[in-house]
Amino acid sequence: MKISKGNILIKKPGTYSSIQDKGRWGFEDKGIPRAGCMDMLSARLANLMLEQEEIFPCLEIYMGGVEFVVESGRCQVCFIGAATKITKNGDVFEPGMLMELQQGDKVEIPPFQTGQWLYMALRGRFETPEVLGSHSFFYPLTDKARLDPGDRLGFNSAEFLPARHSYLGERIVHDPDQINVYPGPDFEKLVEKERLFSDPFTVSRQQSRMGIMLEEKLENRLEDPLSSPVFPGTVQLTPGGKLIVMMRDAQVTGGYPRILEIDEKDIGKLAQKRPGEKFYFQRCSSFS
Amino acid sequence: MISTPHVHVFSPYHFEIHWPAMISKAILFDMITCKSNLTVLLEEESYRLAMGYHVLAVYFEKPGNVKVRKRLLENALNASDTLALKNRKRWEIPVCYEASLAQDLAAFCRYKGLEKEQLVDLHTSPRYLIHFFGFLPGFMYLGGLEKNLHHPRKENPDGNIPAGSVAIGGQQTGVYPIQSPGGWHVIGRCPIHLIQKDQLPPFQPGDEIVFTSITLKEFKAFKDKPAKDLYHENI
Repeated sequence: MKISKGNILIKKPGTYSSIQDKGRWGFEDKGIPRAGCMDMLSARLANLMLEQEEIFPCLEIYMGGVEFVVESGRCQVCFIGAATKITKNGDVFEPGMLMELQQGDKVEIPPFQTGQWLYMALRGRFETPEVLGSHSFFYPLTDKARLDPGDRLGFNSAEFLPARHSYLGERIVHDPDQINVYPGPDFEKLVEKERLFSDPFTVSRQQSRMGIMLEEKLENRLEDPLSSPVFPGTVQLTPGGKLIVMMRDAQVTGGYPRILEIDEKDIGKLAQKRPGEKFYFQRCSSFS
Repeated sequence: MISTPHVHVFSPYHFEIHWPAMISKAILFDMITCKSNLTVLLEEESYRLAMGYHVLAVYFEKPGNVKVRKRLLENALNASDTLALKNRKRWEIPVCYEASLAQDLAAFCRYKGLEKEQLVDLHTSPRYLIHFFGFLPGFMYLGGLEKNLHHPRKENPDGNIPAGSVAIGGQQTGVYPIQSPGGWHVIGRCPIHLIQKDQLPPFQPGDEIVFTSITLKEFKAFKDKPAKDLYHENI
């Protein structure tokens, strides 16, 4: 397989762009957060379009406003995730298409129309350093948390797939307002169990790669438990009654009651919801 | 075993073993033994393993047969491999208790009615037990802080606590491995980087930590020494 080297110069990194992959596995016992793509499914599809079965490191973009140029080399990439009009030297490319880039090409990703996270997978590999089994940015394990203007991303490009090899059209998200959950360890102690499944919940502005706070409040008469493990998808209830969904960069233990657990497959669906958007928790049927 | 732990199944991915909700050395030792058994039994699986004070959680990458997994966790509880407990170590972590490096040292002493020397004596005498890591990468949850030093956390957390800060919050004491916001009272600073890139802290849950007081001059000499070279002995 022909491999060629090159690099991308980040002109505008947007609000929060970084390199992410499947994240770190097995370092919880030293307190290391997992990191990884906020929307794993989109990142996986972008890689699959390039005939890569693993979630190889992707450029993860939050809300758009990104501009980069290819300084050297050639590469084939695919964008999947949030909806936006990506342009190469001014020509529009929809996400889901294979895109060939070569030296001098300028790519602009305007603010997103819908969704929050967009992934650019690359045929081959980004050359960012691997720390503890993952390329995912997480400071201070990696030098930086996110990309800054002027940063360079080296890549090793693999042999291109044929042009128009395939195209992923608009993706249909089933039950977009339904987030599948399992009751968490402290669920049974709750006063307002039923409300969790009958009322809509709203994503708030307070969110990051660490967690998403929801707008609604739930009555909380629980005592805070001893610090216990939390995972991406764990929903904690604060003493004030707010719900916090732990996301990819969340710490590995938490001191609030753990009331729900979002199904791994729906974590990305929630991540793509913008502040103000509503959804329902759908209790998963029994699984034993 | 001090009392019966139970296996709980929360989802096809997520299983936990719960011990009674208390901070206890006996429970910690049970958990360490069980965790070590699990890593052997789960060799073929891709999973995450995490610990709190009384909860051991297993999160599998892929859903699988719930009954088989549950039985596997029960087997891990019943096995009696105590090898994991035979490799425990006691580590000495140097701390400089100087106001120039510890923003809350003077206020803490004033509030507690202690001379600095008394505070240093109280803080350096216990053998602290590492229960687990959490909050920040490499942050140790330590048991054993003297009652006289218990002090409620700050109402308004500080935005930037420097890496290496040794602090007290509630009934706990700990070392901030990296710069971070935090609500604990900083009483000293450790010159060693507990975490650096892929160099994780060499300490394990079940190990003991002893803080030793050093001078400002020694603080400068200690800088850049890797954590694994800290003085330690088997216990």
